[in-house]
Amino acid sequence: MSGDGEKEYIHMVKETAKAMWGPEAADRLGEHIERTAAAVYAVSNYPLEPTTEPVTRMNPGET
Amino acid sequence: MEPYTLSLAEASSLMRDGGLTPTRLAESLLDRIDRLEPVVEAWVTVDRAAVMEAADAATMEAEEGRFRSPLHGVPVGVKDIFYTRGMRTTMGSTLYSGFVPDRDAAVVETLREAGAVVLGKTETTEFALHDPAATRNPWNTRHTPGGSSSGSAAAVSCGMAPMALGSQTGGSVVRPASYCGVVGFKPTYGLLSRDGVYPLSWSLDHVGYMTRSVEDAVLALKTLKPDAAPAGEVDETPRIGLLGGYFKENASDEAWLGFEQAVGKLWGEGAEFIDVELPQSFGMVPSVHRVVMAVEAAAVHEDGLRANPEGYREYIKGFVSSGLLAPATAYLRAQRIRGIILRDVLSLMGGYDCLACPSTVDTAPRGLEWTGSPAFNAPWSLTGLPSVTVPSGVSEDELPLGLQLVGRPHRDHDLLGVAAWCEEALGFPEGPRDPYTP
Repeated sequence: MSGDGEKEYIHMVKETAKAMWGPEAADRLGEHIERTAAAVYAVSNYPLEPTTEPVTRMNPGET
Repeated sequence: MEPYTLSLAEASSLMRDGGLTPTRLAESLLDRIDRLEPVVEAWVTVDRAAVMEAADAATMEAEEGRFRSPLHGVPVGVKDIFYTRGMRTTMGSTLYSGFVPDRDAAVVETLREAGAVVLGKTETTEFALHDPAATRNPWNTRHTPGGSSSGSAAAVSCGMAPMALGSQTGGSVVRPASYCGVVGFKPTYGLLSRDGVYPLSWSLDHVGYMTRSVEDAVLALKTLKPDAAPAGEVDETPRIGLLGGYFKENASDEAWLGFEQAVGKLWGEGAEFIDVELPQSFGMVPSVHRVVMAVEAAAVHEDGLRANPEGYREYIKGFVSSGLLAPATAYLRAQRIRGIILRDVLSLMGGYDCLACPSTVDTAPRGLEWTGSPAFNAPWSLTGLPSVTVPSGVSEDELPLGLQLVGRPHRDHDLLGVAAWCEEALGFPEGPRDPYTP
């Protein structure tokens, strides 16, 4: 995804929401769906090395 | 002097000297609740008979010279997402309006074993997320007390309780504490048990609490977690890393000015401040926090929402639904970036006793529809680092401002040591407020 990638991604998620819950519900939930989709897009485009492991058991004393 | 005005430390000390009994303290606080609750609406449940029974038992033990802990005989408010044995626990939701747990949350059990008296259950936003309770800010009842630990902050602020438990996933301890002009402490992630606390987002949820002084917060931590690492050697005056960037860009003019004034005051008292540049990864905090929280909240509430959609208010319904649509890979990516943010923030902390920034973006918003922005607290929920807000001044319209200090992981007592120093230097009054309605 590039250029208008974020908009395209959000649109795609909204369409998924419509298919899952119907247009009325998807519209009502729209702001949340948009904000989380934007966050997902940002996270998905952050460069990561394959060796970077997820935090699975939070212990901020050990990194 | 009415006992409700006493701090936890003062009450505890007076009880040991025989100048106060747990029974008298409980009576005074219950009277205060009777008087102020119609205005503040901080409580979901107060069981007078149970309070007096526990207070009388603590009094009898005190008369025999038995004091279980510094919190012996001290009444404590408990946010209504903490399970309390035999006492209604509603999660701020109509779905749980009749739920009575058959056990205590671990931290409540510890409080009872320490001789503390469970004073009642304090108001929370629905499932500790967004949709607000009716609670009002004692500093100005036309303003929100913040959330989600709304009732805990308001109750401590106006002298209904010397201490109250809260929880924080984004900013739900530090923000309401700052809005209500009290001390709010969110320990290192996992330091206080989440067992028996209704989850919102497992890897972000923290148990914390509010008091009216840092000294009280220290006593509470010693009681709730006796094996927490003790305070290490500290210099007479602290060396503090000053956070600008994200915080300066997002703070209101008034919040930033208040922060600068507090820093100036502390500098005048000998604190050393060094500008700290936030790492590039810090810019990902809002997105990473959003993804982790939305997905975990969706996992918590998926079944409930499917079974009973009418039982959820609009905000949480939308938030949970948005999390259901996030791919698993995005969640894992968020948790991977989270580790990078934590590593980068920890690398900033070398050489400082703590980091400092404003506690909130602005003072408490007017109205009760929204509990304010957690933007300045979410980074510390995400990284799990201990943070504390110390009241630092008041705005032009007489609402409290707070100084937020952030410490190293598992050095919670060190952080509270710096907070105590700052509190004394800032000289903010710690007495309870009478609610003000303009």
